[in-house]
Amino acid sequence: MSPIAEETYTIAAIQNGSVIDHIPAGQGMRLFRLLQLEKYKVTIGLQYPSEVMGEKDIVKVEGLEISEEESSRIAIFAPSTTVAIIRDGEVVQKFQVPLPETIHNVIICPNPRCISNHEATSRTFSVLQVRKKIMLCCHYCERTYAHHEINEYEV
Amino acid sequence: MPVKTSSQHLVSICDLDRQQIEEILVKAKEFKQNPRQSLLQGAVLGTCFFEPSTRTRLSFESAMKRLGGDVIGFSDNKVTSFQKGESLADTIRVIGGYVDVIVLRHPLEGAAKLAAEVSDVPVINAGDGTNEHPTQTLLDLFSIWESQGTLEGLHIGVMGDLLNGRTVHSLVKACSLFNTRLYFISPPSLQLPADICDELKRNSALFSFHHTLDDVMGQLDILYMTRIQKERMAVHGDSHLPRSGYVLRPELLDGVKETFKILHPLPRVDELDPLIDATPYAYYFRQAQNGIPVRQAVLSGVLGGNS
Repeated sequence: MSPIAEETYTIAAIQNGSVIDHIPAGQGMRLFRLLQLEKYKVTIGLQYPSEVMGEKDIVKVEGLEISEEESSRIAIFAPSTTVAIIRDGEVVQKFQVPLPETIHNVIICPNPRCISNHEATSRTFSVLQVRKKIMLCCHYCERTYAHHEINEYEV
Repeated sequence: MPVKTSSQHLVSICDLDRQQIEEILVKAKEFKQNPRQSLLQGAVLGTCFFEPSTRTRLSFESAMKRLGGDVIGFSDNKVTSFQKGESLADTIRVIGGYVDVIVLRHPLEGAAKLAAEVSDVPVINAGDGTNEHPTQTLLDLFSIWESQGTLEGLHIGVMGDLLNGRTVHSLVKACSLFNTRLYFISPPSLQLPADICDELKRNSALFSFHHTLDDVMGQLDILYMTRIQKERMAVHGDSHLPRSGYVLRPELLDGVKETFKILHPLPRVDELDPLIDATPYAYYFRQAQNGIPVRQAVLSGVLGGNS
């Protein structure tokens, strides 16, 4: 048995719910908070070996089928992430998280002169694809940022 | 005459399409020919200036008074409840109950958009940080149109700090709606930001980058100049470049088109030689005066005083 297969057995299987896989290592806890999974039975695996990613996080949620729309909230942190829907122990649906058109109350605008950093208001970003790169445009100051330029999040 | 509030806002030049811009310019031309009208009698303008400005504030006040309206407001945030910790949103909600239209200048970017979202009366952005200043763009367009007789297909050079200048960003976006050919003249590190270039490409605008004016002067109908602040060049590592390369002197005007005109949002420092003021190419003082009819057109537009 390969070491990778050995590790996968250490995360409990679920009967009904969702398996969020291929999460970039270090983002698992953030996804847990973003998807507000506190009221569910959740197993979180951090920094598991992955042939493709090197290391990855995995989140398994019992009793919740995450929709594509809900999962889009996490796409900006983890565009490679997949979601598998499990019923009676079988995978019935699997999809890659879709990029949303807008993101609300997740990203803190890096522009210190942006009004959203000074007033109690929603923080909304449009998601744009510019030359195959994902860019985020602040609703208020209208500045555009690449993902790596975002340093602070609300979650 | 009672004023009908249309609750339209003017936050960004991008709020306007080509037809709406043209309508404002035509209206501004009428106001320039006949400045004193009573279209807004009984209406009150609130000028909320959270940072200092003289010409923008005074030209809005003058525009409102020439239309028969009244003006109240402040030009120093030290006298407002802002100092007591009141939010901008609450300030706008309260003042919106006293006036028919708000003109807002604020040091933070996006402030006008937030104000427009919470206000029951129209909000006109008179500058939000380095973001937008749409009535400046409209008066720039009006001055180009007035001096050339058209906006369509002109060759327009834009020189100076193209990275940080909000007037430049708004102007070039608006120019791209009129099939203009744009020439950007700046130090390498103060070039137009990539996202603005992308927007110009989406509008199928033709543009090119240049490091000196000599390359393009003979082709231009308009040269729009802005100030390069010494500290900006230092920040961007170009302090070794001579700023004199971006200074317009009379000898550079040899061989320009007869109808060529120079615009500048003012105030100038040393990038525009005062000897140019007396040439037929200087248009920047008329450009500043055009702030009144253009702001009359905007005020009457948002307050439904057009009929």
